[in-house]
Amino acid sequence: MKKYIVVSILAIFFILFTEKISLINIILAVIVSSLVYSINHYELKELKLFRLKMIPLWFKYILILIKEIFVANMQVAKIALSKNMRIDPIIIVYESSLKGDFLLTILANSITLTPGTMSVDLVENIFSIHCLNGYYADNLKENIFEKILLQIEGVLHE
Amino acid sequence: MSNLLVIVFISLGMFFFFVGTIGILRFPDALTRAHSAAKADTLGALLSLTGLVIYNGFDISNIKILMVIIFLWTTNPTATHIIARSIINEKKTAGESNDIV
Repeated sequence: MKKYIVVSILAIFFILFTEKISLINIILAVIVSSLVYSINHYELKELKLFRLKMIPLWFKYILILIKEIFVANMQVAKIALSKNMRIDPIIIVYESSLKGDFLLTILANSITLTPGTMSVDLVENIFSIHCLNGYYADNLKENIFEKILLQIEGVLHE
Repeated sequence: MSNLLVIVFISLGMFFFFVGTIGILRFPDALTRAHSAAKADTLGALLSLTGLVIYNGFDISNIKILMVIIFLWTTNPTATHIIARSIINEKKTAGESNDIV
């Protein structure tokens, strides 16, 4: 089962990158993907996170992330172009209640992309977060990303 | 009409790249500079590449452009994270880590 999933994902990538959908290309894709599968070692632990039940949650997550990226960019533009920069950087420690490494990585990356905050270090589940101003640290307390990821983790352990 | 959209998207993308570069030059220290580098690039790349998608018309190579956006959005914060961590480690070894609350 695992073999078919990995080979089909690799084959889809091959077809996308060669931009040609013909019989010979599909056969070639399957042959090359099987070869790649046989010489590499794959673990599919993370695949469980993308089950059908979780697709709406991921969709919501991505929409919120895009919105936050827009806000973050406006805010960086505003600060970078302002006459006198009013920034007072601090580093705060933030403990997450997530457990999985993969979800923690996603949360760290999302924190970096949201306004005013940047994750600096991550030990176990404790983040060090660099904030441009003190009040961005308060926004972190009700972190919507963490809520969605906790929901996803909850569905995972049902 | 589509040309107009392309111009708008790519100009906006260029604007954010521009602002990001100004931010890198103007922010006072390395960590705040990393802020500017991490954020401006993501939206700049999204808008420029969306402009390219519209310019290209809709075919299979657009999926490649979409893939570039996805990879950029995952690698950019990761690279920033590494840079920030190395700055912090440098500060710790130099004994200037008093600003950690």
